[in-house]
Amino acid sequence: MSTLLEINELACRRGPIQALDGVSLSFRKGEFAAFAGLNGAGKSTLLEIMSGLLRTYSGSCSLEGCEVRQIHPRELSRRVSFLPQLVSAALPFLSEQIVLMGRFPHGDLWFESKDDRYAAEQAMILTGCLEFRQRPFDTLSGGERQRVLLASALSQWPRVLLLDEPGTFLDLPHQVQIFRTLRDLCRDGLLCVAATHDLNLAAAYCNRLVILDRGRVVIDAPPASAFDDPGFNRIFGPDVHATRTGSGQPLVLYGG
Amino acid sequence: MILRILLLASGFAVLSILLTPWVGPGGLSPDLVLAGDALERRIFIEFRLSRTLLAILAGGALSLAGCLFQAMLRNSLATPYTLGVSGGAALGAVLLICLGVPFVWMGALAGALAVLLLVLGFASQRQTLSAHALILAGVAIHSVCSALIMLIHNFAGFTQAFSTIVWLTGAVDGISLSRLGPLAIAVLSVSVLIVWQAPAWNLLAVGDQWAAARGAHVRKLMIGGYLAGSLLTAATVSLTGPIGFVGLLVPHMVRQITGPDHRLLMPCSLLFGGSFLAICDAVGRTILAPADIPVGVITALLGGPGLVWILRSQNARSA
Repeated sequence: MSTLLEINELACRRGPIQALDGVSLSFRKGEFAAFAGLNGAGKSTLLEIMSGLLRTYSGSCSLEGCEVRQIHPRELSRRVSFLPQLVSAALPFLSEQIVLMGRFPHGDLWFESKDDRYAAEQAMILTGCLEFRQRPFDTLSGGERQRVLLASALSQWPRVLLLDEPGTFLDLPHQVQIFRTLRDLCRDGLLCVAATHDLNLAAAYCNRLVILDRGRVVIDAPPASAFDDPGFNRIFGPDVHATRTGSGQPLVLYGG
Repeated sequence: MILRILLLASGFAVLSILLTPWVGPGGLSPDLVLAGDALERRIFIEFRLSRTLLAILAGGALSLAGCLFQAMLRNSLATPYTLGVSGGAALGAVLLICLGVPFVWMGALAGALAVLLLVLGFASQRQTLSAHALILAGVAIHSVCSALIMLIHNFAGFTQAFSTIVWLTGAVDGISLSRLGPLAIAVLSVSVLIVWQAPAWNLLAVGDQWAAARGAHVRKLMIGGYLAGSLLTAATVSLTGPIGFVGLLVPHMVRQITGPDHRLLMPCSLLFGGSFLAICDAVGRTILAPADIPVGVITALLGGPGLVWILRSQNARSA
């Protein structure tokens, strides 16, 4: 399959910190990749560049052959959808209104079309939040909010979906549900990249694990082999153990 | 539903234009005015109608600007004056009052525009323009301007010091149609531009990154919104002085009915804000007649309880 997103020798400074330092990666349609690594490893910066939000970098990051920062924002967000880490609405928007905001790059700005309503509804069904479409977003629990936000990102009909810690605040069943939904969407051809700290979820549902350390890619492999990599313990320390279940599924255990 | 709310707001605005001019001391006789009595007619147009129209325009402009800044800054306590333009306007006006120059509104407008250029210059130096930076700039400008106003006030004569206070209270008076016309054109055209971008303000109200990831040009919107909201404020304040609390209260009152969607909230704030100020002004000139209480006093009196009410409604929502 052809390359969708190509990153080459990407470097980026944020203030005094070299957030990214020569990252090269390429992603194909249908992949579900996880970015992992310690805080400050560069996961969020990388996602921000890939989504076109951060435009001051050297090297290249191109989507279907076009440099991301040269694509018009509206055009870009019809193809790439990004879910930021912390979203809290200051005004009492209804959940449904938040989801419909994902249609911004598609619509004529003022009136929602049938397509817009359909896209929003389908996305809400997928993430299991249709039942609180009429509830104000700021009265939802953390997990419910996250599902509404994901629905909004999906209603954008992206080819590339970038998520910064989509599992935050979710209870376990919903974390699993979200990751399974994402995996199924990837099987239908979506490219999905999620920054996450939950290596077990990544191992269970992603087909690629990219581990970053101080702005560099240290490991880039399917989760099972990523866990076996000698670099793994160097990054995560001696209290994180990679192992396998009886059925051979890679698993991370904690403890000294 | 949406249509009904819009019709209701428009109807309310039209009614207040038609009715409030008749309210006030020294009762005008509708019969004489409509019959074409020259004197009554002149009094009606020059003192009452123009005053109502100014109140409508000022109330609408301030409410819309407040609504816009609340969205841009993601802060429900933002007002048209949060970002500093009114400070510049007040400084300009007070300076001219104390120098004894007649065209006070020109000083106010010049002061407001000077602040506008200063902030835009500051913004053009930076890659991104955050809500935080804008608020900081606004607060800084405000404190410098009020310090200078107090300084000038200190050196002013008794009459001028009194006029300064009167101006700073904020009031609508009958003004000539030649000044009302340009104000109407400015307010209406800038308002159309702001309301036109309502879907983008919705995105910004959730977050900068959120808006950018959905294809909105955040920097352009922040600068454009700052410029548009400040122009509305500057044009209004230069003619009325800084009338308080309208720009804070009205968007909140309207939001209770329309919800936070700016496509509906903004036009309704514009319409309802106008009626609200026209009614407040009619009350002000009637309640202790023949004394004419400046509308700025009325709105400030409503402002305190209004703020408490906002807080209560927010608590009720989160409970």
